[in-house]
Amino acid sequence: MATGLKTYKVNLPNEIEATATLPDNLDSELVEMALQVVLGGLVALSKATAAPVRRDFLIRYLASVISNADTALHSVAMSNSVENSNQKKIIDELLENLDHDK
Amino acid sequence: MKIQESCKGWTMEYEAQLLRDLTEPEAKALQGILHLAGDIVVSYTQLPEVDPTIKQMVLDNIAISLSETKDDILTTIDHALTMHAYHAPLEPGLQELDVFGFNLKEALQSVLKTDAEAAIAAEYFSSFNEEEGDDGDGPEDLQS
Repeated sequence: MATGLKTYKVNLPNEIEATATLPDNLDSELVEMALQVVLGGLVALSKATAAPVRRDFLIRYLASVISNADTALHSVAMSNSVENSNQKKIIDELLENLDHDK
Repeated sequence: MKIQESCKGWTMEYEAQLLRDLTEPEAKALQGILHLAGDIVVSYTQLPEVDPTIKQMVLDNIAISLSETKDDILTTIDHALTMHAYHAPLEPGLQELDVFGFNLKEALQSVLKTDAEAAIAAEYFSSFNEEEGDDGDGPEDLQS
C-alpha cells in the first residue's frame, strides 16, 4: 500500500525535463529510470523528420506503453487475487493426483 | 459414475469413487481422452513381432510423450487459473479510471484518426479491436 507521495524530477539533455508525483513505495532508482526512458523515447520520436512517420511511431509508442500499463494493472490485480485464493492448493492437489506413486 | 469407451480391439471402463456426474461437454472431452489412451495402448500391444529393441524404443517414447503431456496439463491448468484471475473484473481502486483517470481503450480510440492508425495500435495493444468469439479450439475438437 502506498503510504504517501514522492516527487521526482528527471532531466534529459537539451533542457528536457519532467516532474512527477507518485506513490512513495516504489523503488526510486527504478522510477527515475522509467520516467527518463519514457521521456527519452518521446524525444527520440520527435527527431523523425517526416510528420507522418512521427505520428505513426508515436502511435506505436503510445499503444506499446498502454499495453504495458494494462499488463501492469492486471498483473497486480491477478497477484493480489492469487494471494487471497486457493490456487496454490488446487495445483498442489493436482500435482498429488498426477505425481503419486502407484 | 462410470465412463465406458471402446474401439476396434479394446474396451475400457473407467470408474472413480469420487467421479461426479459430468455435463455432456465434459463427458465428451473426457471420453475422448480415454479413447486416445485406449488407442495408444492397443497400438503398442498390437505391434507385430519385431526386434524387441524396437518395441522397447516405442514403449519408452510413448512413456516419455505421456510424461511430457502430464507436465503440459499441469501448466495448462495453472495457466487457465492465472488467466481467469487476469481477466476477472478489477476491484475498486484498481480499475482503469482509478489508476489512469480514463479508460485505456476509449482514450486510445479517441486520439486515432483512421482505421489504419487503429490497426497499428492493435498490433501493440492486444485488447484494442478485440472481439469476443470462439477460437474453435475447444475440447470438443479432441475427438475426430
